[in-house]
Amino acid sequence: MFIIVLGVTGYPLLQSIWLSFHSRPLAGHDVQAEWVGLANFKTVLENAAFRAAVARTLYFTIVSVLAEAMIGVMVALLLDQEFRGRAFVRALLVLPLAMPTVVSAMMWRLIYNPEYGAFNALLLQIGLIDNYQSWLGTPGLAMNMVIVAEVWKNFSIVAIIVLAALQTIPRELYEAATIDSAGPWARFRNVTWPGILAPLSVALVLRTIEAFKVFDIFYVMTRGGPANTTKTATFFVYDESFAFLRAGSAASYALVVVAISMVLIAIYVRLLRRQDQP
Amino acid sequence: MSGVTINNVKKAYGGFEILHGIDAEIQDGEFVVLVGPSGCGKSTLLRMIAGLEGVTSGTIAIGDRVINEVHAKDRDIAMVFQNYALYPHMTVEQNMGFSLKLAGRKAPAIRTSVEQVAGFLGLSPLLRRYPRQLSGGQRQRVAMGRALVRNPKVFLFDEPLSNLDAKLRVQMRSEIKSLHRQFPTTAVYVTHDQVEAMTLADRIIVMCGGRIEQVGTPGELYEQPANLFVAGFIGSPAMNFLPGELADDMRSVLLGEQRVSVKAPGHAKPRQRVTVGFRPERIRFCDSGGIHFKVADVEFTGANSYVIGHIGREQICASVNGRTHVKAGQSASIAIDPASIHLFDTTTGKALV
Repeated sequence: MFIIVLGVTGYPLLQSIWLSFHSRPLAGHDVQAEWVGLANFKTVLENAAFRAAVARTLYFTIVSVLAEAMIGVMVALLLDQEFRGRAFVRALLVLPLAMPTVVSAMMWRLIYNPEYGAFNALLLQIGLIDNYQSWLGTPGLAMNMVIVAEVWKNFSIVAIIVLAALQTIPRELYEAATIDSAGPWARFRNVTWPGILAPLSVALVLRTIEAFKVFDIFYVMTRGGPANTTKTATFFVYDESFAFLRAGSAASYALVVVAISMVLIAIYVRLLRRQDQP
Repeated sequence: MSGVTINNVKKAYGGFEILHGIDAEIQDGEFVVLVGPSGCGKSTLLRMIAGLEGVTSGTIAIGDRVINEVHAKDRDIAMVFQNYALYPHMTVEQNMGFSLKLAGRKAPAIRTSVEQVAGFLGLSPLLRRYPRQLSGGQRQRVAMGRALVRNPKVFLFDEPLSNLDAKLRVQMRSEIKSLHRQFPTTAVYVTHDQVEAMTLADRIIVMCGGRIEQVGTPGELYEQPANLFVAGFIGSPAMNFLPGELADDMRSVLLGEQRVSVKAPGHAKPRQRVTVGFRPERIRFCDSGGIHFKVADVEFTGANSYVIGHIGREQICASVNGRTHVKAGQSASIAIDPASIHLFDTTTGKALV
């Protein structure tokens, strides 16, 4: 078992680390790895385009996770109420999750299509825009439009986790709070919020780690464009490796992305440990 | 402080009525226990007083103010819940001070009130703890402290002791009683345990099937049960019942072949079908000349022995102090003082008094 794990995860990791200290073209005659020391990492850290990509990824991560948190919590609160067809709506919630990212990204690309997209049609018909827009072709706009697609895809995992947490809060606590003169806001603040905080924070950290590694949704929807305004950190690694065929420096870019992810994972582990304590 | 007046209160869920017109007057400072079997509507009535359930018809008033339309938070009541309902993320101190904090009281004033009540309940060393770090009894005490801190007009208790073990339950029962002696605030207490009701209450309201069966002091309910239900519900072990027929002289009842002396009221009719009730602790074993009693089993509990047997086909329980010479399988003779026999109209179930 140990050997399998080591072979599957350890070897590629060590290979990447080894690569990151060498210059090695991905293809061509007579491919020889040449030892370059820390030169690759120097390139990485000095590369303003890469720093911009990391900043872009952080923007994408923070905005989409915050939006998923807010929408997720609100949807969970709604679905915790009694109403007709609640079970059906709850089942619908799984739909975005069940869809592969590539499929949902394709779907959103169609929705945003500048010539026949549903989004343009909707906004034009309700009078919010006068002309069809190129949502994914406009720098500054494209990133936010991808965030919308990302939030649609992933808010439901937050909603499902929060909904499960809401159902574990005893009804008596709400009643006690009501009798203690708590209004709706005070009840939310003192009963609901503490009851969902722990599961919500775990969900958000997991979402943050996931979001930071984002690749597929951008690959399908924008390919990093327009004008590199949606080129994320992982996309940068991809380009370096498979467009510019520089395996060595691509490995160093990848390792820097891994390092940033590890910081996020460390926060996650710390959070889990704190929940074990009283 | 104020009393609670319940006037022809009904409760229905979607056309299904579960409380059929409840009338009750709870005096200022009185400790009233609502008791009855599961599903009798006692908890619903309590929750209606609390404002957690709406009133379908009729009125509930605290003091002079009808509170049907008053929101729970403005009723000035405190409630102790069965599962304590302590806020898990708050310390004992924060739990107890929560209502004062919501009421906008300043932190030093809250601290003073909380510390005073905590000292009184022996909770002072626990103020910094969280509910999950407390035992069941301590949690129960915190729940009571939270209610006491508010100094409300009315205390409501919803089966507060049912999650405690037997020993702790007895201890907390007497603590609640002594608390009420020191803070004589109107209290309404719901339980299905008739011993709890008997020991705690100034007055007991016995409920069954969404109706009040009888209201009275523990003594009245025990001595003069108004009907078969109350007679069977109050007292442990339960009252014995035998079917019988009033004799022509109205001084005795025929239990099958045997004749038992009773005092029948004037409005009863000769030859009327009656149910004869008598408490296990009022049965005396005599050498001869009594009612024939076939002993099936003897249960020794320490302070008492319960002798279970049959008169005719009916099962009867007798309770005697300490040990008894009566053995399982033997035939015995018992006597019942006519004054301690209760007669009930078999068709209506009402006491014949």
